[in-house]
Amino acid sequence: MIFRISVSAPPICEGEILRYAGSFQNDPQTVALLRECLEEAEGKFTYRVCYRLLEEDNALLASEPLKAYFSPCKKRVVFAATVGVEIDRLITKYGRISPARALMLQAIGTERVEALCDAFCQSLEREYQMKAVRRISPGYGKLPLSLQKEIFDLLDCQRQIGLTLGSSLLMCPTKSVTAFVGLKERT
Amino acid sequence: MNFREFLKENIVCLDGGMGTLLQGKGLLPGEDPERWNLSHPEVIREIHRGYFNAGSNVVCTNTFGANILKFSEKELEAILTAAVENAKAAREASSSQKERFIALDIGPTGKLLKPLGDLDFEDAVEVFAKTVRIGARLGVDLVMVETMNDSYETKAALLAVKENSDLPVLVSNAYGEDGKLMTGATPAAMVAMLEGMGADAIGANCSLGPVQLRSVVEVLLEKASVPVLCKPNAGLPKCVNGETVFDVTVEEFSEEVASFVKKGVRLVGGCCGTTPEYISNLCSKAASLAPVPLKEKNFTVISSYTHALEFGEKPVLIGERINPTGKKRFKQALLEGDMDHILTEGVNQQEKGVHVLDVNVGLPEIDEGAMLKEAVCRLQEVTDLPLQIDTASVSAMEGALRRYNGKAMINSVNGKRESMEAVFPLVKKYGGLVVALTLDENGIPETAEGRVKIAQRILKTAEGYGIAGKDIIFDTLAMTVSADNRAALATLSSLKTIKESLGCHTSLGVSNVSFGLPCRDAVNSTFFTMALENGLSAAIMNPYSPDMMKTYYAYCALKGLDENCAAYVAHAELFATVSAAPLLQKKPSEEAASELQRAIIKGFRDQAGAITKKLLATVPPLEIVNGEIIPALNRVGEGFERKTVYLPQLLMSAEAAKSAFEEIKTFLSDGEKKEGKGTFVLATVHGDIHDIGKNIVKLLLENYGFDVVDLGKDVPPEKVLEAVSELRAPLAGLSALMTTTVPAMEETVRLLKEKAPWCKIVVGGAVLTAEYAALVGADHYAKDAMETVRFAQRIIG
Repeated sequence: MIFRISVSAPPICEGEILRYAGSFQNDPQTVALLRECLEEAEGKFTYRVCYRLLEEDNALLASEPLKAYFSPCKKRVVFAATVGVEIDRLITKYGRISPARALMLQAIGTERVEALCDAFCQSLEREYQMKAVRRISPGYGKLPLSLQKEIFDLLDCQRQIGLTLGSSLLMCPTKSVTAFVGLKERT
Repeated sequence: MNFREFLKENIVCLDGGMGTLLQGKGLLPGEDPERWNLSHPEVIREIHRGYFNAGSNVVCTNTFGANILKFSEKELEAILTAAVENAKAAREASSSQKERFIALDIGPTGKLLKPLGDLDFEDAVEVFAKTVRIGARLGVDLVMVETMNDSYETKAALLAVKENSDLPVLVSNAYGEDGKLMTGATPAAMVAMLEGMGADAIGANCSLGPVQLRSVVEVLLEKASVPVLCKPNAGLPKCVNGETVFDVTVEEFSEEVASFVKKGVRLVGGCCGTTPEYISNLCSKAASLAPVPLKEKNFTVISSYTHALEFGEKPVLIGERINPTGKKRFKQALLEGDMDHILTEGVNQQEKGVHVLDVNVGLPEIDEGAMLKEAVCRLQEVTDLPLQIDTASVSAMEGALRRYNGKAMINSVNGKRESMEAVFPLVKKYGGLVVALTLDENGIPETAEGRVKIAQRILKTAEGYGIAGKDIIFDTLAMTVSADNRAALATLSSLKTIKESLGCHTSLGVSNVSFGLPCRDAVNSTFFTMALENGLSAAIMNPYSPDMMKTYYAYCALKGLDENCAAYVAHAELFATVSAAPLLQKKPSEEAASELQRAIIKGFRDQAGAITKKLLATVPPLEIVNGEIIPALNRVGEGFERKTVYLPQLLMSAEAAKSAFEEIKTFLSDGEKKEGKGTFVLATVHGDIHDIGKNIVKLLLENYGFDVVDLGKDVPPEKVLEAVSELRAPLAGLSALMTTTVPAMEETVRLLKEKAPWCKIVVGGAVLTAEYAALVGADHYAKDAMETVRFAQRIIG
């Protein structure tokens, strides 16, 4: 069964955003730009996740990297998370008329969706009283990007959270994540 | 009885969930339910029959995802044939005595449309059209477009149904907890667009339970003149003892949905989690209710992809600046295909407070149809304001209306027969609020009576096309008062008559009135006030004029349209005399650098522009470029390479430099076009829609004097070749962010190397490395934008 949840906005980490924007020494102008962008992006996010628990016999779990990843785990979760389409609109808007803003908004979007994933994994930990192993996503490490198709079929992402997969396996809205997360007993 | 007739007089019971029932029958996670039409016809028939027996008047075929993106043409045909057969067999087999219809069910494609996603609008229309053509041939009674969570895709689907069948069509959207579609449209915006295009009923389904959908349904009922439909979920799924249950019970569900019927909803059913039991209970409740008669709503409304805009007491401001008439810089931008200039005009006018943007890109030297379509598409990427499509070319008008994501304003039709015959069919097909000029074959009548007479004739003709008076807004034509001192009076008096006796809204291009006079703002803003007092609903005006904006805010405050005068107070700064941008304080360490250089280094965009404008009065443009802008850019660029300046700062400086260049360009636009260093063709490769990196490269290249031709994102290899060949460009830059799009980059490089061997190719993007770049055959890999500039300088600098 697919579950769908809306998460309340996780706290914003400005340091993370600046790091994503490629700024490692923060002069007042950069920080001012960040604050302006945060103000413009405020209220433009929806925090949505859909997920399902994978049974041990799920065909996906036959793949070697997933088998290895889940081997210490008692629960196996696949999820998709998105912060919605409005941030993409802002990024597109400024991509043409102010690349500096577009860059910063892009970084804000990345920080937001990562924070959403963190919040979701923490909620799983609370619900099952277990420890979440660091999540893994298709296209990173040994997990092929082509897994996206199976994940989208399994999670009915478009209907559940409005997330779609383009022909080059690009997710739209772009500030979205699909991932596997395993839960193991707390030691 | 046909479905349209049945809908007129009755409450229509729709069916309930399909997917959840199929899972109960063994449909596996991730398996396509549409294939079950062929593999398990008995299961599908049993479910359909269950709904007919429960009292449904309409059963939707099991074809939610049946489209050519998911299935081959052959399989699609087989699936649709089996699906319609299954529904027909169930109708035959059911014991119900009610009227029973079969709806071809159409769900979303599963892809997001451009610009947010990668599916082209026309491709989406064609995907839906294929399904509609087959379905219509198989003899369904109606079409149900459902669970659409994007307004643009909804438009594509409805257009496909309308263009490929005469079937009645119900259109239903999936709204989120925030009461909007995933891509932002409100229910009022959807009503404006869908009613304009001729949907037979409009509604909401899926995603939420009935209680959460209540507020959406209330808006639909308030705004729509056509019947409203509602098909909620049985709440949210929960896992109880390993079983999936939905958290709204049969009784709660039917109670709430029946209450919608009492409020006026005319078509009801259920979506995910509902079963024949839910529908049976709902149908018996509905049977005891009388249908609430439909009422024609008299709203004059337009919409964008996010919101609807109603014309009423509060004047609507239509920004006039996207128009080449009398604007050299804008003309130059059109001739050069400089879309960024046009987009910036759009964003700036929105910031000044207009509600609608007029879009006119007509020039004899360019292909207006292509440019208007492009401008409308691009503007919809940067602003959520409704647009007014302003063109004398009917084909350009149609191209733009097709691509417009909402209900547009259309500028214009007039009393000439030829004009009405060309424009009204487009208004009828695509929806729209059309500006009607009170002139005809005999020109513009001098008297108010003459203009009102034309207005009456226009209304009557429109009625013949099925276009109501609420969708026509009259422009009584502001003529130049310097040529005829009674001109303004005739315009004003016809405004008043049209508003009062014909009950229609009015619009004026205000600025014409002052043509040929000095201090035009004073005449315009006074005329604006007089027109408003005579019932003007909307003004096409210049929002950069403080006088006009003052008039607007003061008028609203005085008319009781601005609570606590809040908007007036908030914009009071407009009323102070505008002083020059404050200049920067000098710091001793920066003594050597000039004011302009410091503004650029610090990334102060507005100041950089203002200082340049001032300098241009005394310093030759080239001296400003070579003596100020380039040295400042170099300093920042070198800092970036030494890692003392980071990317956001580099970009802010580049934008400040760009605004300085923009002033110089405006200053020079009278004179000869200056020779650039050479053309650099830039594109994000096919299949990839990431363009931040590419835009950054573009900005820096322009700063360093290169002519950049930006082909945008998701660009096919042939298009890159075409541009490179046509311009004989010495340089091309390609960007790719995904591993899956690197093959498209390789293909583009191969094509260029074969057909345009003179062109040096530089590549970049998150997944690329120098090795990868060599592998795809590029001449150079640039790790960032500065390196691209340096490479370009080495080649043609």
